[in-house]
Amino acid sequence: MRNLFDFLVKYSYWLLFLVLEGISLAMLVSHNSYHGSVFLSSANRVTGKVYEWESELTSYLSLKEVNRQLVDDNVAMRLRLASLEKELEDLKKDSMSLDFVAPEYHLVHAQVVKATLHRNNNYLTIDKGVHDGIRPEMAVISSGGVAGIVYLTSEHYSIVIPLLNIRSSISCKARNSKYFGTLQWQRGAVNIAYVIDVPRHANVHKGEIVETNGYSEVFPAGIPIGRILDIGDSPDGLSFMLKVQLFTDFSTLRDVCVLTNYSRMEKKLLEQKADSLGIDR
Amino acid sequence: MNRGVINRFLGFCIVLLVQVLVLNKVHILGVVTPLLLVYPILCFHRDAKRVSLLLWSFSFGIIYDMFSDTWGMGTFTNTLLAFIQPGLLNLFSPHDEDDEETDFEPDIFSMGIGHFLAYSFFGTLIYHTVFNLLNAFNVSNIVYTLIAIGGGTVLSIVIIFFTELIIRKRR
Repeated sequence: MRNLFDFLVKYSYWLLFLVLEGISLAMLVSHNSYHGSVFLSSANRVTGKVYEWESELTSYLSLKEVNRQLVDDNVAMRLRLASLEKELEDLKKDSMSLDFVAPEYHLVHAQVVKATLHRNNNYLTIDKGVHDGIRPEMAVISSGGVAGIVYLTSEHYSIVIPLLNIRSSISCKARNSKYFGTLQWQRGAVNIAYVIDVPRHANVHKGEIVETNGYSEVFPAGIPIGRILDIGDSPDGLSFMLKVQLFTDFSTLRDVCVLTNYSRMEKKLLEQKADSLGIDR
Repeated sequence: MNRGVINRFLGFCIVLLVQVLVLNKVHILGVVTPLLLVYPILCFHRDAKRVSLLLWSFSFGIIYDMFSDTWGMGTFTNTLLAFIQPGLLNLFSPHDEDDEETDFEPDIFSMGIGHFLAYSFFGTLIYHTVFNLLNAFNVSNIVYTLIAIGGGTVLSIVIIFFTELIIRKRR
C-alpha cells in the first residue's frame, strides 16, 4: 500500500499530464456532440462580450465601406422592386387575383462579432441567440446571398457554420437547370467553393448563377449562392464539378439575417413525436 | 499570492489577448497564423514546479480554445509543451556556468541569443506541428498543413525575438 502511495507521489506529474491530455482529447473528439459544448466556445457570455467590444471598436473603421455597400444594395433592390411591380401588374391583368400567402419565414437581423476564415472548420459568431428566436439549423443569409447555417445557440449568441467549412454541404442548382448538386468548400481561397455531383448531361454554362434548390428545408428555393467560374470533371470522372465564385464576401461580412422558420420546426417536432409513438406515417 | 504569480497571470492574459484579437486574424498565404501562446510557457523558470507549469498551461489552453473555437487543440498542445519544456530547457541552457543550482529564467540575455533562439525554435516548431496536425486531422491537405507549420514557426520566432529584445532591454 505504502509502495503504491510512494509510486503515486513520485509520478504524480506524469499522472497529471496524462489526465490533462485525456481531457483535452475528450474535448477535441467530442465537439461534434455540440449541444453540450456552448460553454466552451465563443458563444459563451464572457468570450462573446469580449468579441462584441472588439467588433464595436473596429466597426467604425469600416463604416465607409459598409455605407457604400448599403447604398448599392438599396439601389439594386429598388430597381428590382420596380421591375417586379411591373411584372405583377402585367400578370394581374390576365389572371385571377393572387391570394396573399402568409410568409413562412421571418428575418432576424444579426451582426457577426467573430469570424474565422482560414481553418478547415471555420465558424462565425453572431450576436443573436435563443432569446431572439434563433435555433440550430436555421438559415443565415447576407446581402450577397447564402452565408451559412446556425450550429450552436446560447442565450444571446450563436455559432454559424459558414459555407467556408469543410463540413458544410448545401444542396443547390444552376438557375436555368433542373439538375442539382452539393456545394462544398475546400481549404484555401475564401471566395471559391465547388458544386459536386452535377450529372454530365446537365446543361450548365459558365457565368450562370448557382442558387439553393429548396430541397433541404433549411433554405427556401432561389437564394443566390454564387456564379459559375469554371466547369470541370469530378475526380472520379463520373460527374461535373463546378467552380463557384461565392457572392458573400466572408472577409468583410458583418450584417446578416437569420431566417426563422418555426412552422418547419413545429412539423419536425410533430414528426419526431409520431416516430417515438411508433405511428406509421 | 506572491508577485511572481500575479506577473505570470498578467503575462498569460496579455499574450492571450494579443493572440486572440490580433494574431488570430493574420493569415499569410491563407493558412499561416503565428501562435504566440508558446511564449509564456517557454518563459517558465527552471525551478518552477512541474505540476504548476502543467496546470497554468492547461488552463490558458482552455481559455484560448473558448475564444477561438478550437475545442481542445490549444489545450492539448499547451499541456504537451508544458510537459516537455523542462527537458527542452535543460537541453539548451548553457551548462558551463557555476550557477547550475540557482534558479534562472530563460531569456535572451540569460541564455545568450544562440541558445535562446535554438530553444524557442524547437519549442515553437513542436507547438505548431502538433497544433496544425490536430487542426487538419487528415492528410489530404498536407501541403497546407506543412506551410502552416513552417510559416507559423518562423513568424512566431520573429515575434518572440523582438518581444524579448523590447521587454528585457527595458528591465
